[in-house]
Amino acid sequence: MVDTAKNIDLTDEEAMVEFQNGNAGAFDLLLKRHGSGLLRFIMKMTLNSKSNAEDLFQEVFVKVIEHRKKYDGNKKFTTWLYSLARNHCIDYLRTKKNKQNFSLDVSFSSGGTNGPVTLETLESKERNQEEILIDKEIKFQINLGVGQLKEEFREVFLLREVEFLSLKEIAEITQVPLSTIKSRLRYAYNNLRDVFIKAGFFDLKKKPERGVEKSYGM
Amino acid sequence: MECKRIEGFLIDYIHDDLGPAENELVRRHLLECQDCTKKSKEYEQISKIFEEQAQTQPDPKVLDNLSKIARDELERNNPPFWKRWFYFPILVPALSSIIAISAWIYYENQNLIYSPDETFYSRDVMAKKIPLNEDPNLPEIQEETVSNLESRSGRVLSDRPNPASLPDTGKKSRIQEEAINTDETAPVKEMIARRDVKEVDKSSEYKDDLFDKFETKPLNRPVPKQDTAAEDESIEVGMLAEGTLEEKADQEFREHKGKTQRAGSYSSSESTYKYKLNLALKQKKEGNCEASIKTNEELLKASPPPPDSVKEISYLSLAECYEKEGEWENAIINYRNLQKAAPDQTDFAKEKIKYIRQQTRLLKK
Repeated sequence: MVDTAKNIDLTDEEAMVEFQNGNAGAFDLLLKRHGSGLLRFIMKMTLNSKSNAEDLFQEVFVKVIEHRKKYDGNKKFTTWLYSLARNHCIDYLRTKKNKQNFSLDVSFSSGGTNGPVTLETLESKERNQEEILIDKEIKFQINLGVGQLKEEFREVFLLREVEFLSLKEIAEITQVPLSTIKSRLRYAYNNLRDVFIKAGFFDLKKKPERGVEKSYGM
Repeated sequence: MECKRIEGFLIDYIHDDLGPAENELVRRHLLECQDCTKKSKEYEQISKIFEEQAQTQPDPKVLDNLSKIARDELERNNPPFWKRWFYFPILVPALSSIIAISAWIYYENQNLIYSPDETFYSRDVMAKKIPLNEDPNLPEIQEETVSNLESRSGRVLSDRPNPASLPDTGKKSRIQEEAINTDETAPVKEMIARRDVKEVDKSSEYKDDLFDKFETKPLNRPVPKQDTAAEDESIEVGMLAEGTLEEKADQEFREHKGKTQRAGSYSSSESTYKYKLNLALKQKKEGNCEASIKTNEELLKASPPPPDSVKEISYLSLAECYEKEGEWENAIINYRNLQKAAPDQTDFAKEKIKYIRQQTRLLKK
């Protein structure tokens, strides 16, 4: 990576304009700022492993490079970036038709545990092991819940809860009215809640509160 | 009914996106409704658990690869400045036009130096390059005229530099010089001519012939070597053509002077010499020897010094003026100067000096 110190004070929009004018360092800055969030979004949106998601991630940023002249400096960069990413993910999902064959979180599946971890199993372990398993269970539940959402609800939920975009920005990215975004978000929350209730997620959360001072941060 | 309405606000409530009134409405409802409170807390947990999702960093190789792609793309679309400048399409015709216009202006200015008004310049320049015997435009009679004029004026020009090899002095200047030479040497030849009085009758015939040709043909050609046998004839012509030729040359010189000035500084110093010399000769002819002496002395002191051809005439004129005035010593000095300026006039000068000394001796007796 090239030194981005010279461009560190630039906003996303200014950095993109700089990149349009031939400043490669500005692109590096944008990559550094949004690489992690975008990769996470792609992973959850396409329900792919990290390595597969990185291919898509790279393709999205190649689009950013190739279509840099189309970027309007008056618009927010994240809106433009996530529009490209969202469209690319939808194209990918439609092309592969792998909605049903998604692999859930790779870290979970490669962790030596096959299938969901039951509450009974958790309760029989020691404390540290119990925490690790709870973390894995939570991850699994999250991915399960998100994976069960339809694309239109999932993208809205991920953009809102993972990437912290405003409802207005999400409306721009998805090109649907703001009211529709709100209802989709509510629908996504309800669906996830149902999934988590069925999986006993909220009961699981209560246990550490009672016995162990443990946050669910991962 | 109330719960369903409040449920629509719950997500915005946990994100703190509601207005004050709606926020208060939801808060009050949650205080009263257990189900909605529970649901709100569950929403909060969902939101929090996603917020706390660890960030997944892309592989550094992927980032490096993307950075390289970006640089390659920028380089491909933004070639170096000199390349962009060189291939900028409008520059090619623009630069070509500028070069063409510059060349045209340059050559146009070059041509202006030899404008049609100054054709005699061009001819003089050409005269340098085309030998006399190869010039197809040179009429035979012209050579004959010059030959006659010079041979009959008593001047022995064989040792003088060929005018074609001289700096460009202009046609008229050359005419004037010849006329002056003719005029100036005539009195000297007159004395020699006294020894051969029988040829005098022929002079009027030569004179008429000379002026007819002089008026119709320009004298702008190098002079062929003079046959010394013609010296006797030239004495009479010099005597008779004296005043007339001088006037004509003077007039033509003045007409030409304006053109010469327009043409720039070309041979300006030579023109000045000729003008002063002519003035001195005119003053001498009018009998104003003092003024003539003064003019000649100014001419000889000029810087840069005049050419030998001018000095020769000037010294001769001075010597004669002093002789007229009876200042024998000054006359002898100037005849000696004449020898230095024109070695071919040595015999003549010695003869004059000898004559003056004889005269002074006689006067003393």
